[in-house]
Formats: sequence, structure tokens, C-alpha cells
Amino acid sequence: MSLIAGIDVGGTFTDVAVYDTETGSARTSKVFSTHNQADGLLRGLHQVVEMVGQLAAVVHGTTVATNAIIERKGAKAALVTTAGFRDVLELRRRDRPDAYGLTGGYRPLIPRSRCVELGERLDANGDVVAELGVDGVRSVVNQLEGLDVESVGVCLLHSYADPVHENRIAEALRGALPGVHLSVSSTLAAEAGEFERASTTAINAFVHPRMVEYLREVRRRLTEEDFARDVWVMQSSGGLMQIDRAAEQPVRTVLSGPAAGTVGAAELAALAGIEDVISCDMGGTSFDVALIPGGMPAQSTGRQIAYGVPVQLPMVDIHTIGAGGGSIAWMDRGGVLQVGPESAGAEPGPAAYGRGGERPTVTDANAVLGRLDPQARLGTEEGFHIDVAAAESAIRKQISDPLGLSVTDAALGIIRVANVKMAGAIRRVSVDRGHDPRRFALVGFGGAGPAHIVELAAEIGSTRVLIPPQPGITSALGCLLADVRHDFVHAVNTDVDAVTAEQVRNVFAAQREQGVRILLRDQFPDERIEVHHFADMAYARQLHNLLVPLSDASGEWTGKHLTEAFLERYGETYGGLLRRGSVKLVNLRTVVVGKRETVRFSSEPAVEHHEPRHRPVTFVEGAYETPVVSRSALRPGERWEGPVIVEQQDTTTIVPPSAVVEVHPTGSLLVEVQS
Amino acid sequence: MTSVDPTTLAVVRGRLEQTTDEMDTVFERMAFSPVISDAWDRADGIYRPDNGSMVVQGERGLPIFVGTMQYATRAVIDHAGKPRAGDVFMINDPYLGGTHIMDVKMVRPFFHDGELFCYLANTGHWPDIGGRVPGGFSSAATEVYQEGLRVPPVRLFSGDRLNGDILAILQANSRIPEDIEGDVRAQATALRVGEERLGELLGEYGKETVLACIDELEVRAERQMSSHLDEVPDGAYRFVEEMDNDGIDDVPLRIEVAVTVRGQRLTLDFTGSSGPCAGPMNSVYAATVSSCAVALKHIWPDVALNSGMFVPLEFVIPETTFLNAAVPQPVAGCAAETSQRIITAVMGCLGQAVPDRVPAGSCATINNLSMGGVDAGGDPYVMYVFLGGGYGGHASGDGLTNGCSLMSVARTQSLEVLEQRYPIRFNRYAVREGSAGSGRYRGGFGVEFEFTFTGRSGRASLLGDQAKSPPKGVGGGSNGAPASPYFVLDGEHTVLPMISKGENIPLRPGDVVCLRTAGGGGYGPPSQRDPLLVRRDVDDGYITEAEASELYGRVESHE
Repeated sequence: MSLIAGIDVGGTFTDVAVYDTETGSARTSKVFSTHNQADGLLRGLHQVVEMVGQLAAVVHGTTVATNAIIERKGAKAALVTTAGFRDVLELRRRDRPDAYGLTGGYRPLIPRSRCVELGERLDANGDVVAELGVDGVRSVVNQLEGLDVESVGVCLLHSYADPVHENRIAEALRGALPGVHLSVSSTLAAEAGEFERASTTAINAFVHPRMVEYLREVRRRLTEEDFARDVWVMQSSGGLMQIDRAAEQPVRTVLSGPAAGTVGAAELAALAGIEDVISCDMGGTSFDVALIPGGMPAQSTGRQIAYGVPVQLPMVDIHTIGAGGGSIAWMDRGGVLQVGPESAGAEPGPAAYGRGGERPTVTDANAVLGRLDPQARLGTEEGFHIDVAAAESAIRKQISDPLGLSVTDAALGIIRVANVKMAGAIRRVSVDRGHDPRRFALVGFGGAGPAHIVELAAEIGSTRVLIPPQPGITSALGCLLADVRHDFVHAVNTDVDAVTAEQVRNVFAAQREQGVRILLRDQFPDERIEVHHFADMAYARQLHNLLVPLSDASGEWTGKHLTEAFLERYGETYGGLLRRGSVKLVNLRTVVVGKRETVRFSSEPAVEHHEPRHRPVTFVEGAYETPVVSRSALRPGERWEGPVIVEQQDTTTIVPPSAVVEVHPTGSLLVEVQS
Repeated sequence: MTSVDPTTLAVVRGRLEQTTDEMDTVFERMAFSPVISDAWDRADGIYRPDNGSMVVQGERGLPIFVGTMQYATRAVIDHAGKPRAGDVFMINDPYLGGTHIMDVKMVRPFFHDGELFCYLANTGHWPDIGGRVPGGFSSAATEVYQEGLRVPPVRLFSGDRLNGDILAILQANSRIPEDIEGDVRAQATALRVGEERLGELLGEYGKETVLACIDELEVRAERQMSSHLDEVPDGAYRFVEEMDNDGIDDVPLRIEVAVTVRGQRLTLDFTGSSGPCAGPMNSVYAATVSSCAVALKHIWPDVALNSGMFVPLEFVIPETTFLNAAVPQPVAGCAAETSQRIITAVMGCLGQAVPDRVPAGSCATINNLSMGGVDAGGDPYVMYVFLGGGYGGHASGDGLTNGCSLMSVARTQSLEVLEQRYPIRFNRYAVREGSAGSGRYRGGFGVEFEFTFTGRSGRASLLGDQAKSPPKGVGGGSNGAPASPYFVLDGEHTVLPMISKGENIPLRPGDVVCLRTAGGGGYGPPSQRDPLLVRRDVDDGYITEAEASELYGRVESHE
């Protein structure tokens, strides 16, 4: 029994990678995602395994939660808040969607009429200011019964400091409303910040029933095929959790697929011996970039999923901009060429897809430059060809004629402008973390990533690029490669000198024990369990916390030790220290990791070597009769000097002149870039 | 002049914008003051070496600083000594390209091949730089000298070394000296990051090409603005906004704007506005111009942020009005308050010409509340908070509830963090029912923000407005509710004599502060509101069935 399946269900495609732990070989499939995601999941699985029951484990990246939020198709949910604060979602942090323009709108996930107030109050220390009385509980129960909801979130003020009232009302609701899903803020995100915590809770409540239903369906379908082993679900943090926990805390999956992509990028780069990388996932509509210093995807403690819908949970720090193959090129009123953020999407898609799209896109620019195979298929659609004439006509009409450029120059311009935008996103995530992107190798994946990544590297001044073996299914591979992970947070919010080493030790010990208990239940032996401790710290008067890794060997978490760790991290990140200024300890965090078995992909034996075809391709340096090689024909160690095009089923890698590509034994392509 | 190819132009434009974005990012990450790091009350840009005009400014920067920093840079050029590499000038003089005194500008000359190429500049709102009330928002100041420490253009850094003497003066004048050093460092580092990026750009493209692009981008921004103006029907339009008072004399302050559109040109004439006022609601020239620019960007967000956008515009802002203040007229309210009413005046005026593009009136005060004293444990504190309100309904939908200031993108702090830091306990933070103007598209709601003071001693100051003239509805839509703040002092329900303004109000434990902010105006006649939207407002809990029939005449039943 040696097969493990990694499955990433995305908006358009469901990707499956099945890995044989004995032979190291992997088989993959890519099918259209289905309305009921379980259908596509099973169909993709069937393409690569004869008997699902043979699998040793299934690892799943899912967009069920994300879609429910974006499409606003979730449960009829209610939110219980402290009296006086039921509008916590509606009021947000007092902002607007765009800096310029006053016409943006907002609707909370849970409407005001289903936000119910509970008489109780804690202060910032967690001390009770107003008792939670029986009458208050009864009133809330009555109101919720009248509302007839499927799911209830509970978020009370300062519950991060003491969950006593949240626990009590949750217990009462469990008794009074059997069958109703409960989401409690202090168990999801025990951190200060009532709006973000309430939003996290509301999201969980909103997507909870859908997720439970979906995962139950997945479980049922797998059981029908005699699969009764572990199903793991990818979290936004890049770690896995058991399917049951995912059903309870679906809000942890909002970035499931993209996080899996960064794990895949990090691990595949590590296999090729590269530690500091930036993952660049370019699809049809968006470009996701994440910094991975030292092989560990940089973490953030929260982000907005949509306007006014933040999630306050540990997650891979992924920065997303609207730049992809479908991004539309247009001219602003001043006659300046612009690309995106508007996308032609899947419908009608780029003009070159011949499905009614008339506006020129990045893909159209690639098509007219000869960078895409005119015979290429779109996914698994039969009889589909790139319509170069349509791409040319769109670019001519809307870009090259008005600018007085040739179609070729206009197409080069479109690609250049798109690359500059993506380079800007890379610089921004780097500077945000105090890093210089030129020191990093770029990992390019997603359907459009390999076509742009080498020129993108040149744009930011990076000299190395890695392209995974199957760039289109990197997230599914990431599922195979990820470890199991549980995150714990404890709010402290005090001057660092006011806590004792013993208090810190106790918090960490409790968090460690909680995580280890779950992992032992999941059959992880001690030697496969790793524990990492962190502290959120800041100068006393600062609001931005810094995530400070603490060596867990010493266990000497005195104020002095913590301050030193903070100052060191601060200096690394911001390149300067203050002469004075007291330091505060905001949260203590523990990450408990269950290491899964190491995956060692064997590189597939190349198909019979064949002579490359040639076709004319245009680069910034000029037009070249360029060799086109098939990825499956490449052998480890093989080197090509650019220009060269590498084609495979799900993507095209473009290596411009003066870059050199080499096939790594792991199957990844390594490119040296002249910057 | 070198001509540039369209691709290079687009690329250089992107790189310049990214440079200012990165500066914004570094600044907010490093800053100590929550108002900068969390509320994003800061902006970064690049300016021409000869006259300081704007080359580019970050889209994420605080909008009101869009027009002001070019004047501040100009002041450095005109008044400071000869710039040298490694200099950073500091200036907060409101009358030299400023806003209020708390907005501190830093300006760094950028040299390329030994020649001055441009200036990098940024602005950050410092939470306290002296003055008669903590936080600087004195509503009863009658001279700028009472508003804080005024700094002319001075060299804060020479050869990249901080001048400790100046820092010492700044710190000695602030109630929170610890923040000052953190903010100084953040602000200066952001400028250095900008310098690095700009150096790389020049290295790649060469000075000639970058300069040619800068010139050309200015022409293109002008073209963007002109093409929009071209679509506005020619004519003369007039609009009046009234502010409650200046905090000293309870007499309304009139902002009268006469807009003339002729072809591709626009004149904004404020001649009919009230004269200079005794209290702190005066606006300086740069802030008035900048407010107009923000109004136009709200109507046409696609126009690029560079000095080209100002070319088709003509401003008439006589010194006889309160919108072009001179030394020593107090100006604490100009950035946060008067600016917003200039924006609503200009938008209201153009709304007559292009009603589809302009929302009804919005909440245009942030109710600046500052408080200082000693907490229950005996430690001193300075708290500054500000609030949002409802935006006006517009041609495509209802107004936003609890929108931020029209001239800012600042977020408010979390109540839990405020309670951790300051001696207050919130009783309520809620949608202010009944505050939204009704209409085909209704306004957004204002908020109710109420806390009880729990410290040992405190003095509160409120600098707000719009308690007397509410956000206006348009096209038959009704007005939003005006602001309505009150205090409960020693058990007495207290409305301030100036209602929206008051200074050094003594607080005792148990006293209550309650700010109720304005709702947005309605757009179009309520009778034309889609009955399904009325139904939804009832179902979502914004209005009762009874209110629905009163305001809209009919309510769809559920089935």
C-alpha cells in the first residue's frame, strides 16, 4: 500500500498527483472542476488510480470555503456579540474599498438582523465587568430559535483574554440548539482586534455547513470505493489537518490551494538544493507571489479575503495582483499602455482562444510572438487551436494602431508592462520583509508562469529560476509534500518585562501538549513531531507586530532573552534599531508539526530522444528561429542555451536568448539568467 | 527632447509608481505612531528639482497630501540652503505647502552623476508636536503658535547623519517623545529606499530617457484630465457648503465654489466664501488646492497622480477668504475637516453637470477627539481617535456605511486595543439608526460611538463639524442626519456650546462621551427605490416595517 494522492481543486481545474512511495514515481491528471467539487475530485482520481481503495492517504486542497465567501453563497448564520457591539462586522475598521472614488459598497456576511447581543462584559485584562446572567443567555437562545439559523458564531469583547463567557454561552447554545453549527472566536483566533476576530468567526459560521456537507460527501464517495484511511486538508498556513478538524474550522482553508502551491515551490526548490526562493504562480487572472527565505514560506497572521472580510489566522504570506494570461491590455485616456487588472477570464477568454474574446490579452501577445504552440490544446478540450490571426487583429486594433507600433512591438510592450507589474509585486513583498529579491531564485509555475518567469527574473535582477516538473499542478504536488500542522496562539498584551520565564514556559507547554495530543491521535510517533515557538512582539508604542522565532532549545524565555530575540529580528527586518523604547509581548504562538514521510520523486525516464522542431519566436533581442523541445524528451543534465522553448501538456517554458537552461535530476528546469 | 517609445513610457511609469509604493510600505511598517502605521496617515512622492511639481505620488498615500507635497518641496527649494547629497530637510510650516502642523514633511534631494535630479518627499501625521491640547487639534486656538511647534525648512539630516540638536528640540516639545524618534527614522528610511530604487531606474534607462518619460507622463496626465473635462457640459455651476462654526464664534462658515467649465478647462473660484476665521478652521492654499484635486480624483479615479493633472485647472482662492490662510491664522482643522467640506462642495457643484458620476452628500467630518491626562494607575496618556460616517447614495447603489474621511484612507483602531491602552470602556459602537438619507439609492449610515471614562483625570477636546448642515441629498433624495455629539458630565447630559467643537472638557471617572456621526444623503426620489431593496433593508435590520412605509410608501411582502 504505497500510493498517496494529492488533489487540488481550483476554480477551473482539478489537479491530481498520485505518488508511489516505493518507486518514487508520480502520475497526474487535470480535469475540469465540477459544481459539486467531489465529482471532479473522483473523476480526476480515477484517471490515475485503478482502485481508490488502494490509496494510503488522500491530501486535499479545496476552494469550497473561498468560493462560498466570494460568491456569498453560505449558510444562514447568526453572530452573538457583547451587548452594544452587534454591528462589529458592518462597521469594519472605517474604510472604503478604493482610495479614489466614493461608490464602493459593502454587505457583511451576516446581516445586522441576525446579529444578536448578549449582556456581559470583560475588560482588557479579561476581568468580568458585567456578569453573564441566565436571563441574558435565555434571551439569546430565544432570539436564535426565532431566527431559524443553521450556524452560529460567537465573538465577545476581550474573549482572547479570557474565554469564560464565550465558553459558557457556547455550552448553553449546544444544549439548546442541537444540530446548529457553532463557531467560537476564542477557539479560532484568540487575539485582540474585535473586528478581525469577529470576521474570522463569521466566515467560519458562514461556510461551516457547506464545508461539513462537502467533506462528508468526499468521505462517503471515498468510502464507497473502499477507501477508509486518512484524508488530510490543506490549511492556509501550508500545513495539513485532519478532515474532521477541517469540517470544524473551515476558515483555516481560505487560502488552501495557493498555500499548497508555495509548499510545492519550496519543497521542489529544496530538492534541487535551492533554499531562498520566491514562488510566482501566474494563472489566467492573477499572479500570486510569496517569499520563501530559507525554504520556509513567510507567514502572516491575517489578510483580507474580500473587501471588509479579513481572516485573522496564520497563513502563508501570499501577495496577489491582477496579472495573468487573461489580463487585458488597454490604453488609458492619456494614451499610455496598461495591462490588467481586468481579465478576460475563462469566458470569453483571450482573443486567441477564438471564443468571442475581442480585447487583447497577455496570452494574445505571447501568441503573436510565436511563443505558444499554434497547435496547443486548451486543457482537455478537443479540436482547439490558438487563433493567431484573432490575437493579431485584437492587438492591432486596440494597441498597435493607436500607438503607431508594429503588432510585434506592441506585443512585446504588453508583455514587458505585465512583467514590470509582477516585478513590482515581487519587490514589494521582499521590501516588506526586509529582503533583497535579487538574492532569491524565482520558482515559476501556474499555467502562464513558465512563459514569463525568466524575463521576470531579469526584470528584478535575479539570476536563477526554477521551473517545477509539472508547473500546472504544483499545488497538487504541494499537497503531497506538506506536513501536518497545528497552530496555537495565546494573547499576552503586556510589557515584556512584566512576564516571567515561567509564565511563558507554561503557555508554551500547554500549547505544545495540545498539539502533540492531536498528532499522537493521528498516529504520529514522537520522533516525527516538531515544535516551534514564536512571539508576536513590538516596541511598546508600535501597532505592527513582528513575528519573532524563538529557539525552543533554551527554554529560557526571560524578558531579557525575548527582548534580545525581538531586537535581532527587528534589525534584520528594518535595518535599524532605536536607542530606547520599551518592548511589549503581544501573543505567544506555537506551531506543532507532524512530519510526513519524505517524498522522493524519481525523475521519469525520458521518452525516446527526438530532434527539436523549430519555429520563429520574437524576443526583446529580436526574432530567432527557435528550437522547440518537448519536456518529456529532456534528460537529466541536458543543457540548452537560449533561445529555446520547452513545451509540455499544461504549459510552455520560454527561455530567451542569453539564458541557459539545465535539467536537474529531480526533473525541475534550472535557468541561469543574465541580469 | 528625446522622444520615448510607448513601451518604455509605460514601463518607467510603472517603476516610478512602484518606487513610491515601496516608500509608503517602508514608512508604515517602521513608524511608531498608530496614525501612520495603522491608519496610513502618510504619503510619499517624487518631485521636480526646479519648482517641486509632482512627478509621481503613491496611490496608497493619503489623498489630501496629493497636492500639498509639491508646495512643501517648493518651500524647501525656495527657503532652505543649497541641497547636498545626504541631506534630509524637515518642514511642517502650514503656510509653506502644508496642512495642519502635525503633518510633518521630509524632503530629500536626489543626485545623479553629481547633479540634482529630483526631490523625494513624504509626509507623516505625527501624533503630538506640542500645542495647547494633546494631539494638536485645539478647537479654540486663535493663533498657529498655540497649535504646536512650527518648523521652517531645516536640515534634519546632513550626510545622512541625524542632527541630534533638532531631534532634541522636537522631543522636548512633544508629549510623547519616544514616538518622535521612531517616526523620524521610518520617514527618513522610506526616502532612502526611494533613492535606491530611483538610482536603479536611472542606471537601467539613463537620465535622458527617464527625464523624457517624466515630461511625457505629465503631458499624458494633462490629457487624461482634459478628456474628462471635455465630456462635462460647458457652463457655470455654483454650490455652497456651510460649516458649523470656527470653534470661537458660533457663526457658519461658508464655502462657496463657482465652477466654470469651458471646453477642456476648469476654473474653481472660491471668492464667495467666508473671510478668515478666528478659530482653527482656516485652510492654507496648498490644502485647498489639494482638496479640489481629491474631489476630481473621486469623480475620475483613473487620472494619474502627477502635476499634469493640474494643468487644465485654474484656482481662484483669494486671501480674503478663510481658504487661503496667512500667518498666524490657526489651521488645525484644515487637513481633517475643512478639506472634506471643500471636497463635498466641489463634488456637489460638478454633480449638477455630471450627476451620474457624483454621489449625494457624504459625511465630511471625522470628529477628531483627543484626550489626555492620567490613567487609573497614575500614568500619563494621550489618545486620539477619529470616526467615519455614511457616504451618499449614487447612480449605481447605496452609500457606504461608516466610510472613512473623504480625504484619507485611514482606518480606525480596534476598540479592544484602545481599551488596552487608554482609560476608557466602550458602551456602544453601532450603526446609527435613522441617519441615512432616503432615496432611490439611500445614503450609508453614520455611527454611534460611546465610551465611559475610567481614568483618574482627563481632558477631552472635540474638533468636528456638520452638526448644523447635514450631508445633502440630490435629485429628490433626502438629507442624511447631521452629527450630534454629546457628553454626560457628572451625570448631566451636556451638549457643547459649539455642538461639534469644544476644548479641554474636564472628564471624571464615570463621565460619558458619545459621538453620533452624520449619515449620507439619498440619491434620487425615494418613491423610485426598488421595492426589493426596501424589503432587504427591513430584512437586514436597517429599518423597521413602519419606517419603510413612512419613507418609501410601500414594502414588498415576503412572498
